[in-house]
Amino acid sequence: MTGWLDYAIADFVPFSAEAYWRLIENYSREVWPLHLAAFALGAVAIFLTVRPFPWSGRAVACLLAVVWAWVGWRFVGTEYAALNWAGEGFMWAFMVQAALLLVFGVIGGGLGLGAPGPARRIDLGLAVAAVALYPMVAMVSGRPVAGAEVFGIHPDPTALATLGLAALAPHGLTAMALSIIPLAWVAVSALTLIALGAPEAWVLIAALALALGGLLLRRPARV
Amino acid sequence: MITRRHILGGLAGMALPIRLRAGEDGHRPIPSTGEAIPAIGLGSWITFNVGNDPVLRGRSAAVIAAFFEEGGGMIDSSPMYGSSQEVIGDGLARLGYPAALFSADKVWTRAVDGDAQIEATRRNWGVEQFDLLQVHNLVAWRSHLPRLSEMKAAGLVRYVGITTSHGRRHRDFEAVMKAHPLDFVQLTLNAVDREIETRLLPLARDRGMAVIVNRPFRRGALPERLRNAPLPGWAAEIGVTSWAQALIKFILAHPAVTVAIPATTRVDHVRENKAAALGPMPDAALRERIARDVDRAI
Repeated sequence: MTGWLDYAIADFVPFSAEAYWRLIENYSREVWPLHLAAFALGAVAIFLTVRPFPWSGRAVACLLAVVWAWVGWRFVGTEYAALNWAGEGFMWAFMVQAALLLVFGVIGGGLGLGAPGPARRIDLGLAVAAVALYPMVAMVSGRPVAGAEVFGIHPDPTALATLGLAALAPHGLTAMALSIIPLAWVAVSALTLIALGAPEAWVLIAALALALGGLLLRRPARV
Repeated sequence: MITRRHILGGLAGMALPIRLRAGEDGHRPIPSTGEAIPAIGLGSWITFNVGNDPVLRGRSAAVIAAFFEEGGGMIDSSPMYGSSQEVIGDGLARLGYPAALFSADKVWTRAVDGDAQIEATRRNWGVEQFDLLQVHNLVAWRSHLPRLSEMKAAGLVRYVGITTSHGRRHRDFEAVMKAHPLDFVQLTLNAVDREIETRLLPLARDRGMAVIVNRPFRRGALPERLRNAPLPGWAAEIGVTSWAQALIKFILAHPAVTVAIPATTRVDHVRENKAAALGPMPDAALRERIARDVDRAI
């Protein structure tokens, strides 16, 4: 297709902020109370990362794979794709991420706690914030409780938590491979929110900077 | 019956500074056939892309209903606009597909997917066929334009056109206009984006092509920025009560323009936009003054 460079960011956001936030709220009402289970899964993933058992790395990767497949199918492919012609492509990206988590996280070396140091603190902090604090962004922004975005239900906190946990993987290749799609999604989502004039974009941009910092500062863990 | 010619003749005799009518009932002829269509249509970029939200779908249907209460005309959409086509189809179905509909959509995909996309678009609208199909932003136009021309020859669409927006690819656009017998061209024109007045609008007139104007408000930005600016004295002379109406009259006053397609989510704005096609229009001098006043106020 010719002429892609003629487009601006806003040209790829064919919906209003009102339609987008209402989509999130309506979807949240439809799938409630799965939020509670998703929050619990997030908490379990962080617990298993911090207090690992021999099988924890693979379990966390498997859990994240299920979450990415679910969010990709249920939200991105079914709900979001109604507003954005690119939604189906994004859904497949989520499925690829689920597959990567299985390949690198379960069949490969699995995830882990990373080496002690600033990178580990950043990555763990990012994962905890994505699971525990991100739902409050909606309320702080003046949106209703139904607009709260939750790990395992909505894509943004799911991607942020994954960035934190993936960056802790003992092997650098695993960390990088599992970070590419979440990084891309957070960047796309931040640009979308900028185009919509939503201040929540700055939360994503700050988180993106943290995630990149965590990846750059990482040191190989003792396996 | 008062005609445009009568009014122009009368005004020339009186040597008054301003007056030019769009037509006594706000219609304009399509040059290639002479068929008259309402000078105010309805765009759908963003405003009708509301997914399956029942509240926003109801609001969109109310906008479409008001549009037809005010005379109807062209509704324009695109496969690029998310769920807009389905929302339009939903709104039209609720009204029983009014006869005053002039359905306009676009093809926006790779060459090989053109037929499938046009058929999907038709199903989304729920119409038997479109009045107008356009090549969106010249995407794969070398394949799509012959396809649309074949459809027109076969009676599967009544009119064929091309579109651009935001001032993109005007040189290519001009070349296609010169080389192909188009019924419609769709371009961006408003009081601050006037590039097409230099070459493309005169060319459309010379080639007998109808002109659809998109982004008349710069996606709502112009009325928003003019919200607190007082309407100048000329507003009363051309019968406008808001900046939005002045912005529309600025567009319709250009003799090459056939239809403007403002998009909105509000019923009162549909009625306000429709009313702007009626009554006196600014002459060339006042058009320039409107543009200057808008530029100064934003």
